[in-house]
Amino acid sequence: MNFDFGFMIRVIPIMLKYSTITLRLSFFAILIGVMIAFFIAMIVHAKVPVLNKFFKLYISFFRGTPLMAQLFCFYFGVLPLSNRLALRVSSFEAALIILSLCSAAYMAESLRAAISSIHIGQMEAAQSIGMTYMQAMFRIIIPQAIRVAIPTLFGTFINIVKDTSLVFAIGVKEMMAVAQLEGASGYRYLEAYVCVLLVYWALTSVLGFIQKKIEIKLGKSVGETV
Amino acid sequence: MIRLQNICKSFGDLQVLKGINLDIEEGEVVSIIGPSGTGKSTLLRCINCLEIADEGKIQIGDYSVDVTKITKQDELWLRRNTGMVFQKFYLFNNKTALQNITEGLRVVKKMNKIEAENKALEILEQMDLLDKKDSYPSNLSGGQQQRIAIGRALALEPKILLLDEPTSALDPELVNEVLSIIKKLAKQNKTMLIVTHEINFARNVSDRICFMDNGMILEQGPAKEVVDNPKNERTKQFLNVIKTRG
Repeated sequence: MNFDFGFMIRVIPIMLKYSTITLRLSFFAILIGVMIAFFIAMIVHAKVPVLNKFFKLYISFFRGTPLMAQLFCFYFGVLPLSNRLALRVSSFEAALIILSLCSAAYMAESLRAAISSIHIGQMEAAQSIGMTYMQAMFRIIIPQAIRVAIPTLFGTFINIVKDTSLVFAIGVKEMMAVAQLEGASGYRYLEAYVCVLLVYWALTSVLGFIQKKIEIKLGKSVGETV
Repeated sequence: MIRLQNICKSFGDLQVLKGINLDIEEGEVVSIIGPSGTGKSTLLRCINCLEIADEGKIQIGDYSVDVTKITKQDELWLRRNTGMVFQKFYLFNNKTALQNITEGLRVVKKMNKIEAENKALEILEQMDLLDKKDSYPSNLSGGQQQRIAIGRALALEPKILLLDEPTSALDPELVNEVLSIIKKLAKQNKTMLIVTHEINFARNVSDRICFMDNGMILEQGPAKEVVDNPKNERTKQFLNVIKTRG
């Protein structure tokens, strides 16, 4: 058994081509997930009646069940309940919906914790000069909370990128699916999957790099010197 | 004029304020002294609506609020017309010294950027902190932070400035720089209600001192009289402890 570098190098361009699927899926899942997470975190933090309870259940459900099972249940179970939906929602869109909802649950939890970690005095000071709750939240509390949340948020971002590797199971043709095909063509599974791993590693490394940059920038926003 | 009538406040079973009545004239400096846990801070927080009193009336100028029927508008009005200085400063950590002061001017008073900055610079100069305008709270000493916090409250031109133990969290060396600012404000006839443990300072700077214990004002009168010749037994006892402590 020898490692065929030539084969791996031939597979790289194919992988890179399909990594755009991974990128698109991750990017939109992060974007939508963050927006939902903010909404949930603010509601849970403000203890809005009913909604608060609902979202706690939501968080508990999505964090407490496997992503693969969620994907299958939604794509093969929920969507077919309506013929129209089943025809109109592609597997990519289904994956995007579940990834966004699931990651939102994780991020809502880190945002909520980050908001709670900001000393109550910050809110009181803002209110004491006549700011409304919302003004205080958006101008004083959340900017500080985001700084606290960045490490865990990026942890979730990285998980989203990695979790996109599961969506081939509902028929999204991305890197994992292609690696299986390419690997099968010459029994070169090792090369094909090593290639997949390297592409994922590269993608998540870029995220790690961005995280470091943001942490430094946000550190400056509270007067930290590097 | 500020008038507090029968302010009552409980936390659960604990009755913290038991019917406080207090009038403060415009330009008057009133200090509240007394042992810890007697509701001094709670009283200030009730005026600033950080706590909502259970009973009583708060009147500032012509604006009168019955706290049992208080609305969100009343709360905002009271907060916008009373300035609060906290024991632990609570400067906005994500804002520079200058931005801490402009924040309220821009967001609450809707001033434009240049106007707000000019005013903030003026205040920083008054606080003797012009050179720190671009520093973040984490890089300022406690005394500097507290002076900026006073400036932040002052910028909105409140009808009364409420100071909640403004020097209690400071290193002994930094106490004076804050006290001298408050003294300066007193000379400018700013209306102030100060909760403090600095008895000598209260004696020198305020027009009137109230001694509070167990949720009630037990004695009040001209500052020097209350400190030098207290009438109430509990006041005497309290002042004695402080004097013998040095």
